[in-house]
Amino acid sequence: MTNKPAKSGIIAYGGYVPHWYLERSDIPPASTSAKGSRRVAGFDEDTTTMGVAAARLALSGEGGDSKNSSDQILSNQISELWFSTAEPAYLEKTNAAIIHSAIRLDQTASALDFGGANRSGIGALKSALSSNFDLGNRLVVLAGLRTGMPSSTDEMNGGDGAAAFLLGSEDGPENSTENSTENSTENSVIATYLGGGSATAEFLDRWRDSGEPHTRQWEERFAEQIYGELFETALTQALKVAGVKPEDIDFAAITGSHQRSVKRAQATFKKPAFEKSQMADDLLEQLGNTGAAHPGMVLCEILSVAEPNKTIAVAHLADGVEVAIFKTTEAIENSRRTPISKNLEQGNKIDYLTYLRWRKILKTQPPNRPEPPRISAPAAARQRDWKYGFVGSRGDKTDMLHLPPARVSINSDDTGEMSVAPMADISAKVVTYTVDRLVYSESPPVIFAIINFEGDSGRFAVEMTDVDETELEIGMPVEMVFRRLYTAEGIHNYFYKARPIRE
Amino acid sequence: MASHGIKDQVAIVGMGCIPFREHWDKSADDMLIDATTPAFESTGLLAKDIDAYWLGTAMAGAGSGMVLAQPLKLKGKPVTRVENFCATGSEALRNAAYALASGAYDTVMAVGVEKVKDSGYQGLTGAPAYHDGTKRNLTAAAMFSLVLPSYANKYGVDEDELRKVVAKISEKSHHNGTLNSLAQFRREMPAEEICKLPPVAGRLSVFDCAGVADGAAAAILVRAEDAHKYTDKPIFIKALSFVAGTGEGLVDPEYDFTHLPECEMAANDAYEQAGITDPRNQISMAEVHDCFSITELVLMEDLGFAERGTAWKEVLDGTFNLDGELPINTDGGLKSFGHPVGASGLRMHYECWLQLREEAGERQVKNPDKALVHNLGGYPGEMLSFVSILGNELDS
Repeated sequence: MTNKPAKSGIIAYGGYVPHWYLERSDIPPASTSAKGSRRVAGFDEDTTTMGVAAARLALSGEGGDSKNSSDQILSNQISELWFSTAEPAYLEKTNAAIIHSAIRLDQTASALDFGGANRSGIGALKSALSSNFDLGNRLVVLAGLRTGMPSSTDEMNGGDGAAAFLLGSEDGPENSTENSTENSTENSVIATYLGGGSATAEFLDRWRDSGEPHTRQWEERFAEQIYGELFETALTQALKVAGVKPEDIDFAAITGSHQRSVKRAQATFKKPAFEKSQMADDLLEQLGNTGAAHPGMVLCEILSVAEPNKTIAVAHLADGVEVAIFKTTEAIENSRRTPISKNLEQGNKIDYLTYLRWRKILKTQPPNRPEPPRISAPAAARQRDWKYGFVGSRGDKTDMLHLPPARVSINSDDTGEMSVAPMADISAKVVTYTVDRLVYSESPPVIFAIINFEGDSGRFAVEMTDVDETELEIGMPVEMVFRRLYTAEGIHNYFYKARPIRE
Repeated sequence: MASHGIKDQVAIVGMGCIPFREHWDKSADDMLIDATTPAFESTGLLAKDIDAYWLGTAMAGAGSGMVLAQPLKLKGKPVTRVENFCATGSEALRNAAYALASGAYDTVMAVGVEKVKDSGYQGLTGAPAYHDGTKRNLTAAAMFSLVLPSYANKYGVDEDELRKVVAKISEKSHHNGTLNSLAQFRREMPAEEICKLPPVAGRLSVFDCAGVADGAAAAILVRAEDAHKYTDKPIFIKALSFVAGTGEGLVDPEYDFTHLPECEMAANDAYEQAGITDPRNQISMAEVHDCFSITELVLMEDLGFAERGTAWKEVLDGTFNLDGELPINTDGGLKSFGHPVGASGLRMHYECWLQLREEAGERQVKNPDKALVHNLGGYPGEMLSFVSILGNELDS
C-alpha cells in the first residue's frame, strides 16, 4: 500500500484533437446511417507531433492559471517524460526525445517511449502515478493515430488524437526548496490518484505483425467472455486499493479496442451498487477511438467538467484490463482546460480521397519538382533549440527578433551578445500570404504567409497549416504548431508551421 | 568608404550570345564554344590572346573554372568561376572588368552558361546544401507573388486591375520577343489571354513567370584606351554595382513587400558612379530582371524610372513599350528568353551592346546613348542585386 506524506496525482492535463475530420457517411460503401465523424491527423501530423500539441496544452496556462512564466516552472520541474503510442513515428529511435526537445525540458529530464501495444498508454500513466515524485514531476503523453484498411470498421471507428498529463505530488520535487524561490512553487494536485487494479491473461484479440500497416482481429465474440472476467477482477482490486466503494464513483470511463466488451463493462456501472456513477462521454461519435490514447482523452474530458471531490474510475480494455481511480480536488477549478467535446465542434471537413492520400494509402501525382532531400543530423542537432523549440535570438539594444537565431543583429545598434528568444507560444498575425501550386508538398498546394508576432515584436516567413485557402485573410491571428514537414530516407523532418487561432 | 567605380576605364569590344532554347542536343560545353566563338571572331582575338577568364554558372559541371578551361582548351589561363544567384552572369562581367581596371590584365573574357533542361523538373532547381530542415521550401513564383496584393493594398489599386497591369508587362515582353531570333518564345500573348489562365502562385499565372531555357553568352573586355583596336563601336562601362542583401525583409516587421530595397541601393550606387541624376530621362533603354511580371513593375520604381505608386499607370500608358519613352526589355526579357541563370546577365548586356551600337534591327530604339542592366537574385525580403550602366561614348 502506498504511504505517501502528501497527495499525488494529476497537476495539469491537455487533450489535443486534430483540426480535420472525416464524416463516417463519406466512407465507402457510403451509408447515410453512419453517424458522426472521426478526427483525422493532418498530412503533417503523426503521433509525435500530436503528443507535442497535447504536452503544450498541458503545460500552457490556459484555463485559469495566469499565462506568465508558470509554463517554464512546470517544465523545469519535470524529471521524466513518458510517451506512449501504438503507432510510433520511429521505431528504435526514441520519439519522446523529440517531444522533450519541442517543449524544451531540462537536459537532465529522462525521455522514454512506452510503445507497441494499445495497453501501453494507460500502462504508462498508471506506472507514472504509482511511483514517487522525489526527483520531480512526470509528464505522460499518450497518442493514437488509428487508420485501418479502407472501408474497415477500424477506419470507420478509429480516431486520431493525444492526451498529456503532468503528474506530481503536492510537495513538489524534494529538491525544490534548494532552487530559487521562483522555481519552488508547490504543485496543486487537481485529481489525486487513489489507486488502481489490473488483470491479465494471454488470448488473441487484435494483432498487427511489425511492418504491417493495419490491425487484424479475431472473431469478436471470442474475447468477450474473457474481458468480462478480467474487468470484474481489475475493478474489484482497484476499488479495494483505492479504498472506494462502488457507490462513491461519480464518473466512469471505459475505453478499449474491443467494443462489445467495452459496452458490457459500461453496463456494470448501471448496476444499483454504482448508484451515483455517470458514464463519461466516450468521445467515439465525433472523435473516434484513439487507441492507446483513448483512456487519456476521456479522462481529459472528465477533468474539464468534473467538480471538486468527485471520484473518477477509468478502465481500459486491451489484452487485459487496467483500472485507475482518481478523486478531484478543490484545485481543479483553477486549471480547467477547454473540453475536448468543445474542440470537436470546430474543424474542417476533408473528403475521403484526401484522407486516403494523407495516410499514404492512395498515391497521387506530385508536382514535377524535386522532392526535398533528407535533413542533416549534425545541422539539426546544432540547431536543436531552433528546430524543435522555435527559439530565436534578439538584439541586445533594439530587441530585434531573428528567426532563425542569428549571432549578429541585422540592426547595427546591437553590439553585444544576442539574447535567447523562445517564440513557440507567442501568437502572430498574417501580414501577407500566397498559395504555391508549383512547389513539392505531400498535400499541395502550399499555403505560405509572412507573419508578425504580437506587437510587431518580430517577423517570420512560414508555411501555414490547418487552413483552407479560402479562409486566408491579411490580419488573421495565428499560432505556432509543431509539425512533420516531410519525410526523406525514413527521416522525419520536424519543424514549426503557423495555423489560424480559432476561438 | 565609397564605391568609386571605374567609369569609362573599361570597354566591351566583342560579344556573343546563342539562341536561348531547350537545347536538348547541346551540352554546356557546346554552348560555351558557340557563345564565345562569335566574340573571338569579331575582335580577331584567339582564346590564347585573352589573359584571363571569368565563368559565371550556378549549375554547370563541378564547381571549378575547368568547366570553361576544358571545352575551350585554355592552356595556362586563369579561369575564375563565380556564382551569385540570378546575377551570376553579370557578376562574371563585373569581376572581369575590375581585373582589367586594376592593370593586372590587358584582355579578359566573361562567359555565362547554364544547362537547366537536363534536370527533368519544371522550373529552376537549386542544389541545396546540407541543412537542418527548417528552411522554407517555396518557389520563387510564390515569393514574388506576395508583392502583388501588398502593392495593390498600399497604393489603393484594385487587385484585379493590378493583375491586368502585370499581364500588360508580359504582353509587352512577348511582343518584343517576336522581334528577336534569339528569344525562345516568339509569339504575341495578349494580356486578356494571360488573365484567363489559372494561377500557379498567388495571382500569377505561368505567363507571369520567366520561362526556363538553356543558354550562354560571352563578352570580351579591354581597357578603354585599347578599345578601338578591336572594334569601331566599343561600349564603355559607366558603372557596376552590387548589393548582397542581409535578408532584412524577412526579419524586419516593417518591410511591406512593395519594393525591393537591395535593387534601389544598387541602382543609386550605379547612378552615382555614372553621374546620372535623372535616370528616367538619361537612360535610353534598360534590360531589367523580369523574373516575374510583378517584379518588373516594382523595379520601375526601385530603379527610379517611375515615382513610387505610379509605375502601374505608366505601364498602362505604354511608357516602357518599345516605342515608349523608356523602352524596357527590348529583347523580350527573361519572359521571352527563359532564364539560364549563369547566362542571363550577359544576355542582357548583349542586348544593350546591340542597341547602343544601333544593331538591334526591328527592335532598335532611337538615338540611344546610355543603357542600364539590372539583375536580381533571391526573393523579396532576401535578395541580391546588380546594376550596370553602359554608354556608347566616353563622357569626359
